[in-house]
Amino acid sequence: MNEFKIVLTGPMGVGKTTAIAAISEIAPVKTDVQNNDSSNAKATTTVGLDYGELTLDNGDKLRLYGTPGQERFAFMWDIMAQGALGIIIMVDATRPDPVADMVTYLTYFRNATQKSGCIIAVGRLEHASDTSLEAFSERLEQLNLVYPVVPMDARVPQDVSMALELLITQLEAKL
Amino acid sequence: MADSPTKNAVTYSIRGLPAKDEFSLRSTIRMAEKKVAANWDYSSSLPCDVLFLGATQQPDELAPSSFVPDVDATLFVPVTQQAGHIGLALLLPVHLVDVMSALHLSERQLKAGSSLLTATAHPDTFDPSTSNRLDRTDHLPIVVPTGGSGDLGQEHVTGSHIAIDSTEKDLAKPGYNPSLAARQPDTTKPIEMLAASESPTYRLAMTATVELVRWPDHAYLKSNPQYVRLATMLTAKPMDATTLAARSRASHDLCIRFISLMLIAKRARVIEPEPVVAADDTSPSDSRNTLTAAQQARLGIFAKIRSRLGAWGASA
Repeated sequence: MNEFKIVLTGPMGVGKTTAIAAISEIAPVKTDVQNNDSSNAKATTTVGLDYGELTLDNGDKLRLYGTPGQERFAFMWDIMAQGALGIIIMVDATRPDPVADMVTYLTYFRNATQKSGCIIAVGRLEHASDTSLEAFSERLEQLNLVYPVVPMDARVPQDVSMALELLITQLEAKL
Repeated sequence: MADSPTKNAVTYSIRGLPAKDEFSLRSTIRMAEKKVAANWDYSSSLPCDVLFLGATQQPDELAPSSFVPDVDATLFVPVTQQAGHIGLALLLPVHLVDVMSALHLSERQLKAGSSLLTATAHPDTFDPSTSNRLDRTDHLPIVVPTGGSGDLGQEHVTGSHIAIDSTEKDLAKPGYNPSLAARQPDTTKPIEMLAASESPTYRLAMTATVELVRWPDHAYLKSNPQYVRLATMLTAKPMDATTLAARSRASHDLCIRFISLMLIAKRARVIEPEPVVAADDTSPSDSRNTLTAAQQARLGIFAKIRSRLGAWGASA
């Protein structure tokens, strides 16, 4: 049996745990604890990693890993990204500076995204009147990067599935 | 003073401009609307009646306006690369009289129920203090393809024509709804129009290898669900239309149209193709046959993942 890995990353509270739960065929493994970070109002936060999986028709496994969002766990991110097919960077459009959030994670995962694939998935756009998808693509252009920038509601399985499908499409095209 | 209550509203949105330029354009439109028949109401989201789209536009490269299905008309706003800045910015100065022309003509086209309205304004060369604008060789006012049946005839209107005829005041008649009058559900026509236009960009897109320089604006991608997939493939590596079609399994024609659109919108650029290293019996365009066994195996994996995601989607 072969195993393949895709990593979902992004700031705390962006919906990584939710996204994995939305499409995993097993009950996702969570390492959430009570949130003591006063900068974010969510009740719990991931301190280890989230894990879900999909079984392919030949028995191979597609493993989905969600990183802990807080930067103090950044030491884990590079380890988690090793060998990944690709990275989905999730950003929350309602945060104070979601474009800067994207850049932060692009920087941390630079090695992985250069070797594999990368999708920028933007959530809660409907609640962010002053942020558009174009702001992300414009910033990427300034960094000489071109990655798909797509809206994604982490609660909607079709949205998560589409982001994964685009990642696969990107990887196919690289061959 | 408040506007006349009989004025009807045209909703508009702006895409493809930096935020500061969008604000400038909105302010100019706000001033210009005092001189036209309808109220122009800004909408941050689609659908809307008219979309102002930042693009570097040549008159012979007019793309059909309604490739964005949720709008009735698109006004191409000139943008340019500014020295010392990254990315495109609104071509300045923008003159009130040109914006008035654009608004007025948009209203007229919407009133006529035309599904096609493509206008391009080049305010960089127009000096409103110049009285002989008509005689200037560099005047580039508004270019409007007329009619909704595929006629690409162009009507040139200059600053001397911006005064609103009294006969057109009926735009403000109660009950007139430009949105209902002009909205056309047929989104395939603009693509056919682009294909039929045989613009230089279209011909270039037939053979050129292009790379994406920026992820396309959402407004472009919404015009065709396959565009997201094509754009995603171009984020991976430069391709020509033939390779893109072979790899995406989209039609060759669709790939040409997509590349044309990206070139017009400055979201892609033409690059020199990589030289063919080894000559063999395989056609260069049939790149699938040149993959190594390991790459073929990887493709198989990707196909299984896609199948699994698809199966999941079907059961959801």
